[in-house]
Amino acid sequence: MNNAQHEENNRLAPDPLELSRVRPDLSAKQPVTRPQWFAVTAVAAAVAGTAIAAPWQTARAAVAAATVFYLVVTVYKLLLIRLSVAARAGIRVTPEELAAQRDTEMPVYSLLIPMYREPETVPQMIKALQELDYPADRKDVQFLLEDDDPETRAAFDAVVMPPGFRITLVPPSFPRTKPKACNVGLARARGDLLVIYDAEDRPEPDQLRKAVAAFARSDDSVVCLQSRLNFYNPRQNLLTRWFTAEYSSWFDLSLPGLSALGAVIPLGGTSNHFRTSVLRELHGWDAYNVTEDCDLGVRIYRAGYRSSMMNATTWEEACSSLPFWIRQRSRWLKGYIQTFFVHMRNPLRLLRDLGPVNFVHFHLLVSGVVFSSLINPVFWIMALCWFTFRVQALTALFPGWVFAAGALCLFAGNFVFSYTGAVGCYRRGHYDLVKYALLAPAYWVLMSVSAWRAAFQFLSNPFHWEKTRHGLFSHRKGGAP
Amino acid sequence: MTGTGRNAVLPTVAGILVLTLALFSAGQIFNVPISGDCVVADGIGRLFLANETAGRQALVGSVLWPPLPVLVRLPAAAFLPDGLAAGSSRLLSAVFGAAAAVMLASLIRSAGGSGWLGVATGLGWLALPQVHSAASDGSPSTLAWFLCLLTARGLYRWLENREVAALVRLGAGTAGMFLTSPDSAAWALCILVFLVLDTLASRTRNAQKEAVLILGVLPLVYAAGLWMLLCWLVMGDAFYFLRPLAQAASAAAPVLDPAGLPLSFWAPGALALFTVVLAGLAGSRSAALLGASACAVHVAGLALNFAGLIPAGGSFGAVAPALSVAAVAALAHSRLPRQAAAPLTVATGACIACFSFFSPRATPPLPQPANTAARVERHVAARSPHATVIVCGYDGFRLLRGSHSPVFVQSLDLDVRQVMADYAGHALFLLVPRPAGRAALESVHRKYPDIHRYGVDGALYDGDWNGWRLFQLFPPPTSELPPKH
Repeated sequence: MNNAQHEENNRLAPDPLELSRVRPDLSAKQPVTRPQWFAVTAVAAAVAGTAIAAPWQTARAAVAAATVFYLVVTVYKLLLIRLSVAARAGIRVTPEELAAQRDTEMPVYSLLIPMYREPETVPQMIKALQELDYPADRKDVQFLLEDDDPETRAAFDAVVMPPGFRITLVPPSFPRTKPKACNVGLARARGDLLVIYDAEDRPEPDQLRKAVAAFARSDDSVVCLQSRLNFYNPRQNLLTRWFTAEYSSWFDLSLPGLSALGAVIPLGGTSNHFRTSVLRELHGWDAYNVTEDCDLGVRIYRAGYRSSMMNATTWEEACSSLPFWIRQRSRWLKGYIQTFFVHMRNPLRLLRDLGPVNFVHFHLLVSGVVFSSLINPVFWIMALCWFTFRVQALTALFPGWVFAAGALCLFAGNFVFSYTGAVGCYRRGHYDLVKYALLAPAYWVLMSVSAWRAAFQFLSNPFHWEKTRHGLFSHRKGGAP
Repeated sequence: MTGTGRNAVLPTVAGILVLTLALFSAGQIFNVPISGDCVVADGIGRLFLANETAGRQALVGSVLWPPLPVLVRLPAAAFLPDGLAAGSSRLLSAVFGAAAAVMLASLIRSAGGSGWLGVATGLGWLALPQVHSAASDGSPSTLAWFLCLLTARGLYRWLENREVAALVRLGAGTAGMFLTSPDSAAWALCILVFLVLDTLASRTRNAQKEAVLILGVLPLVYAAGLWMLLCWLVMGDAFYFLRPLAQAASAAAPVLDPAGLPLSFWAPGALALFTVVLAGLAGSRSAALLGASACAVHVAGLALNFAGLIPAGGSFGAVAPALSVAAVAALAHSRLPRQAAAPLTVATGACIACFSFFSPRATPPLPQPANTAARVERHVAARSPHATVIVCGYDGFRLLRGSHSPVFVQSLDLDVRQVMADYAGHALFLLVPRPAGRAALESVHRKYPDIHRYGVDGALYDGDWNGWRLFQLFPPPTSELPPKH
């Protein structure tokens, strides 16, 4: 069957917006509900009222609350890292287990690769997928292309598709997001297991086999396995070095720590392996959520299932351009805000669904990341004013224990976060990046810029998907290694 | 959580809880007097939380009173009333004592000993008089012991397996020790020298060596840098906290008197040295380094004792037998010649016996200072209803234990002119500690070397109170002080 026939077959339209129709309460189609607007307005009005009536007391209370939050996040981060380094967190598949697998017993594996205006990645992607060590007749590879993307389609026309590889066209409709494309792919997937890869990804060749072994070893409640993500261009520039340090810390230390705790895992956008039937039962991804991965990670737990980390790595391209990086990060943080508002429509129900421990995890991971990125600049400016100008008024905002806790977060907490990045780099074997990880505070400034941009965008254009530009590394270097 | 993780964590937590309860109860039942160091740490914490300049100065102002023992007490000091805060300090020292014992057991297991040997060694170490009394009297020493054993375990595992987690423990432990006591800081520096030499000698890529050095050494460097920064911000001199060292060095030439040191000091050192020699013969690098780390406790202790900074033996010396026994366990696990086993067993037993029978108490019993403060207060109140007494130095925290009188104001960086300006209109008194022991290294004696003997300009001798000398300060009649005689 040629590519044109593939496209023709796939023009039958599935329902990519199923979740928003079947479970509108779990979809970000309506970013903020009326009761939520009312609650947010009421809280804002109350804070404004007390700020006018008692400005110093209000400021003091706000500083104290933020300090407690910082303290909790610091301790939480330490706990996760302690768990991830102490225990073999996540599922570890051994070479012996892989050697014992029989090709004839392997399930059909669906691979979804959503692409949009990324023609330069096509040959590399096909090569990487061909190199996956999995029986060719059991690979069901779908490249999910948008109808209005002639460049990428032309790139596919120029190559001969291996057997089991096909193109699925995503009909043009609103919203134009990756999860919508993935839902189209999900509807046409033939496999018992399913995985998402980005166009520029290079999964380790044995990843699918590891996932099969890991699913076989897990109980039925484990419906998703997250591979570790890292970058193949960490040394391209300072930004990619920082990005690599962050990913090394997040995927190699924090997420395994969460996995060890059995906590809700905010999935990364790629290399998530699913049991296809359960993914369909969950109505796939939320097409309106711009971090559909994080949202799906939460929904998996709300439905009574679990995710786990797996000892397999996918190598990605780190965004090396600052403007593109800020757009990408803004989208992620905007998605976190969407996810927060979606799941907090009924906090009591969320509490009941997740249980109290995972409820706390959810807030520390989802709300906490956004909140800390938003308020960091306020505290940095206060610290700068204190150290530079010795503004005495600031002293009044920090009563004894708040001052002590704040100083602890400032001096110890920030060091711990930077040091953690360095440890992540070391663990990953990026020895030369260890020193760059220590410069992370400058990277956090960029995160805060992105967070404020995300917050404004959430209000102005919540469904806009800011596409990350890939292929910059290949362009510059004449091909990735 | 994985089965392995849960299996490892639960017994550890349970063990710490049980031991903590036992140590804390023993302290309460036998009414063990609270240690003087604990009183000082509690006092600094309270003053710091009161957002007073003196509190911040006390927190960062002296290498003899490092900040970490105060910082770990802050949560209790912030939220508990004074009476309970003292109890919480005891509890804290019991927690760290118990954690140190569990860490020792874990170190023994890591070094190749059986689980039961680890537990027995941990319990045996806790049973040593110097150890269990410090673990039940609120002493900050237990924190130093815990950090020391954490570091030793990190060092051992790093040398054995090159686990990054071990390197992180080592780094965190050395940084913590730098902020805990002068002798533990000196030991931490010795350990980092081991690490640096070992790393430079290793056959790894330069990038990896650089990464190891960053991860291992950076926490201590950061802690030191931070202390300097805070000192600069609070005291206006980045090296202020190190001044007592210079002060000690410039004092009358100290004399090293090895014969004056107790047998309990020498016994673990001799065992450690013996272990190092045997480890060298057996070719066990990690056992040798563990033994050397036990020797380093003595080197650090001797150096600081020689400088007059710590009393002979010092409370930190209590970890020496623990490290020595761990080195023996590591040695036993290596290819030890069979003939060496018997002398090693005898040496270990003799060492423990010496340490048990000849150990001094961890910290001297607390004098009765509350009475002194009350008497001084009555004395100055009889002079004036508007009296203010400036209490100089860290010993003031012991003196003012339990006193909430507004008459007393603590000063860690006395400036007589400034005090006179700040308390114009008050009947102003100065209470100065006798320059003996650690009090001789207080900043007040550095800035005003003859203050205890002669007072300062405008100060009139008013009496002696248990080693404290009271002066009344008279402001000059004009804005200028008369020229010095």
